[in-house]
Amino acid sequence: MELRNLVPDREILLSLQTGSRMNETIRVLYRDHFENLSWFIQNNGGNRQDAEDIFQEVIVSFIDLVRKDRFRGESSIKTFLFSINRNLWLNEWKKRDRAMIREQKYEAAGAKEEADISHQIAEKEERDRLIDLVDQLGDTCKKILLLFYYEGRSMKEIWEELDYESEQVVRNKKHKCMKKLEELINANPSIKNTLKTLLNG
Amino acid sequence: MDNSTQYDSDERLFRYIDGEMEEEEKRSLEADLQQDAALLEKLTSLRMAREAILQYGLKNQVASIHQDIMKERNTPVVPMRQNNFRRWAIGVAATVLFAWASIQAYQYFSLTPERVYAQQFSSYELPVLRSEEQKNTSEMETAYRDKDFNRVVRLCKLNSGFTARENFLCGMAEMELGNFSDAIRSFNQIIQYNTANATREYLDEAEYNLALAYLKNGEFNRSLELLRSIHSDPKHVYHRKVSNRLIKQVQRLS
Repeated sequence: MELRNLVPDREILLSLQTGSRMNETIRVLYRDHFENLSWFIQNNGGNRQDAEDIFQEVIVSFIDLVRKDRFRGESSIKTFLFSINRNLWLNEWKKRDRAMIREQKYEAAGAKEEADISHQIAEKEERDRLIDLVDQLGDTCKKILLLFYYEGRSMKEIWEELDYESEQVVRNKKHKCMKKLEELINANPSIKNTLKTLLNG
Repeated sequence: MDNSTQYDSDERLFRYIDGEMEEEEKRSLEADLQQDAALLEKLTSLRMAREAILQYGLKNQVASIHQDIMKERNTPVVPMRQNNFRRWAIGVAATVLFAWASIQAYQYFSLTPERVYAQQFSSYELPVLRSEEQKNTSEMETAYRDKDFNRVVRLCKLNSGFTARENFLCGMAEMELGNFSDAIRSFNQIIQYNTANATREYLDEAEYNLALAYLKNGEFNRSLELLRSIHSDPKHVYHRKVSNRLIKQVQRLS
């Protein structure tokens, strides 16, 4: 069953902030906004695949901003998503170095009252590099860190799920994995900058 | 800094970013951070590592849902040449008209409660919970999440005085098992509870599913009454699911 047919913005925001019914809420965002944003990209030099790739980035950026309390509903979710979509596509387009579409076209298509969020969102390529970097950690480290930090599981639960000798062993392993990740980040100034942007806006 | 001091310092920062510190200890570390630039830098570095994991997790979650949705849609967009558009449009219009007429005829002659129910009913899925929420999950919710509907129904029959949410799970489990009389009882209890308490807990969900349960139970007039009420209320969560067409279909059945 779908979360709702017409889900008010405040319910979407509450779900994203608390992490409750996340999968359903992401599906609602897809249902309500994917076609519109996809249409924009396909009418501004992109294809269906571009639209799908960018939309994923839009959703990730949006959830991230909501969780960090940087979107408080001053504009509607629809307007805000459009704004992120436009920013991400414009950056992507610039990178592809194709002069057919000028920036003015985007300006004309966008609403004047939209907030400037370009400094708060990471570009697609930056985020892709960040994902590749975390992938270098290895499966065990990724599993432990994701369970602890992303899923909010306790050390005891992780210990039981991953079958380690003791809770302390998992804790030590988690610390080692974090240090390894820190080293990887510190060795990569560009990713470090991306993370600074994501942390501080 | 020797190894053991380094270890203690790291341990302290981990406990801080992982939210495992008591207030007093936290205040003491925060005071140290004001004085010690190296400690602050180390904390920032740990925060960045945690942020990288959060971004990774979020990206994976969205990518996984994206894949599922795209599979479900499976609607490739085929580019079209401009000069063929008119001929194509006429062809499509004729095909659509013919298909529409055929579908109408088929639907008219093959209308059954089972068909209408199958079109309208959607399984209810409990959301994925974070660990903190999982700790408070009742046995009934766990059984429902596992799609063990027989167990849900057994639990419903063992006790009484359920919350609206639990009654809703009872009703939906009964629907899944095809026990429509029992589902009707559960959904009616939710409506009575909300009426008595002037609340709307699972009320819209209960009304819509009750209408479907009545339909499947052959109680068409009761179903129709609920569907009309939902249709006339634009604020009802299921307003858009109850179309004129659905009401006409149930009218024809009654």
